[in-house]
Amino acid sequence: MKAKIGWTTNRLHSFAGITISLVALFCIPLLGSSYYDFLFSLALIYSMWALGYNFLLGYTGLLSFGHGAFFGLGAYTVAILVTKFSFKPFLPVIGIAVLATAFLGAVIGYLCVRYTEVYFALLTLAFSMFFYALVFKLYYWTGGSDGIGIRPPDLFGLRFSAIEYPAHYYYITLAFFLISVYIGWRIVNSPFGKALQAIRDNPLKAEAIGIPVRRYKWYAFIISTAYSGLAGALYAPLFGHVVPDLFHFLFAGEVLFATLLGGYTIFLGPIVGGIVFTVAKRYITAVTIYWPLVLGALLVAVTLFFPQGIVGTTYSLLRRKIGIKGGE
Amino acid sequence: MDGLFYGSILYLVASGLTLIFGVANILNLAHGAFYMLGAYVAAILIKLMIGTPYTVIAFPLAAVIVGLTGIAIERGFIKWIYEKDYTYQLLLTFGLSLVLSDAVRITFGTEPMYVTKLYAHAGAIDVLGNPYPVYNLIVIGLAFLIGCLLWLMMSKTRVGKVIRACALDREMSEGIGINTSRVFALAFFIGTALAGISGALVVPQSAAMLGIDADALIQSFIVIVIGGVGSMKGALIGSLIIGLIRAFGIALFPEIELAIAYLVMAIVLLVRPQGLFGREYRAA
Repeated sequence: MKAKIGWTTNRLHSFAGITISLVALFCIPLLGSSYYDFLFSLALIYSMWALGYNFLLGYTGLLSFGHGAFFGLGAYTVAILVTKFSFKPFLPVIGIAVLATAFLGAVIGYLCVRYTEVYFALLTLAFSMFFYALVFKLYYWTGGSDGIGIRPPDLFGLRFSAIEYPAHYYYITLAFFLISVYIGWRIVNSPFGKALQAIRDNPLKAEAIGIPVRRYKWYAFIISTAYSGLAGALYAPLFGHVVPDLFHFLFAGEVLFATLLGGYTIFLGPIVGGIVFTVAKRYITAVTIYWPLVLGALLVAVTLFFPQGIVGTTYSLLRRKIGIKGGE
Repeated sequence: MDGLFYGSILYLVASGLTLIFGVANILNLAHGAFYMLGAYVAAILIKLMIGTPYTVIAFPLAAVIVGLTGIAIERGFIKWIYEKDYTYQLLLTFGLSLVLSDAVRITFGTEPMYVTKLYAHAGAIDVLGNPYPVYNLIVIGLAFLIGCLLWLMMSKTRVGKVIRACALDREMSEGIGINTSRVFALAFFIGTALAGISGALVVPQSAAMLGIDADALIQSFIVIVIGGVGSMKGALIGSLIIGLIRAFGIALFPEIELAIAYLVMAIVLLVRPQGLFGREYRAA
């Protein structure tokens, strides 16, 4: 064992990596293209969404098809608050959206975490479709299939709009993104996070050593829905329009794929996956209208051939080439 | 009566789903896509053959075509992930369902296909003083017949015994000389053919259109959750419950018709987590 004084190469590598990506993220608005501001705001939102999703998929071993609904709940909460109640202060609006989503997540999660594996997956799917149907029916509140068009909320009395000042909105998203990543990192490396991983690896053993399995799964579910709610809440003002499709399980498939694409075994995976997915989706949908086909085919390919995702595969390549350590 | 009709269709879809799950332990998220494929294939076939006495053949033919597609997909993709973690099968079948339903959209276009002529042709008869479409009665009878055949096959024939053995313990069955790989392919054939025929049977009554895949999938999920996953009897009872709820729900409170189905599911889950007939789970 080497004494742990100063910086190991490994830490140096991570530090350099983090600094470079931070600088890159800060510099995006300097490109001066409002399109890129928009695209990368969206990418960061997807990253947050996938990061939260991975608490369930990667760390607890639960696959959910319902996180589109929680994303949608966050988005609709913001939309309804702003348009129906004219309640516009930005931070409280986002806060309420996250709390509302987490609350519903707690109710639904309470039912779902009693089940494991496929049963869990199909329950979350059914519940998300329930909300989907509900959003169509509750026309007065949700605008039915038209959705709701929203004006942007205020921030500190300052009017800003994702359409007029995309760069401002990008920095706000970035701030939320960095906070979420930090909190996520702390959760994953807390005793609670380790307990979740124990549950994933062997629920029976986890139970035997005194981890309250079902309760911890429930907590993980609530946390991940709160993340989905935050992502949705930030999405609504960015797009300026929310539609029921957000609740559909196909939309939840996108976060599933983003997570998988990045690599769900690694903390960084979903973050990278969210960004790559968003950018790729933009360019693929620009070329072809057969987006579900491409998405499905890619999903099959990734599942069969690259189950570790981009980050995982890169790590194992690097490990083989230059003996870098990492991956967790 | 409408409830019985919905219930019959649902039973056919759900029993296919539950059969595949019970035998191969795969929750096939592409099941709805097979259902939709069945609907489109049947619509095409009926359009081709309408007016001739052979029109009836369109239904079994659609089922066989869908079943063969099912086998092809099982051999090509799903075969490789039996041994792997459950997340892979969900991801894979989800991906496959996206590809399949988009392929249907590309092949058959986005316009709904109607063949209501056949439905009208069957006419209506008096049931307890109300006119009722004969076609619906035929479908109910047919679903009953298929249900009986399935039950006979599973409990009385050698094939059924082999399938049940595989469902109970794959390794053991392999040990006593059963070609389990072939049995799984067979289960996929029967399961997807059931999805195909139910899709086909719906076409004359409504239409072949996009989006019915997700509907069918979700509805049959609810059915098998209520009935108990992997249980054939559960699929029957569950689909009757949902069918009746749907019929009464549309008549009494159209606003929340769908919500009631979910409510029933939630109650069943809370009271009896394994479903009504969950005991027999895996016994197919």
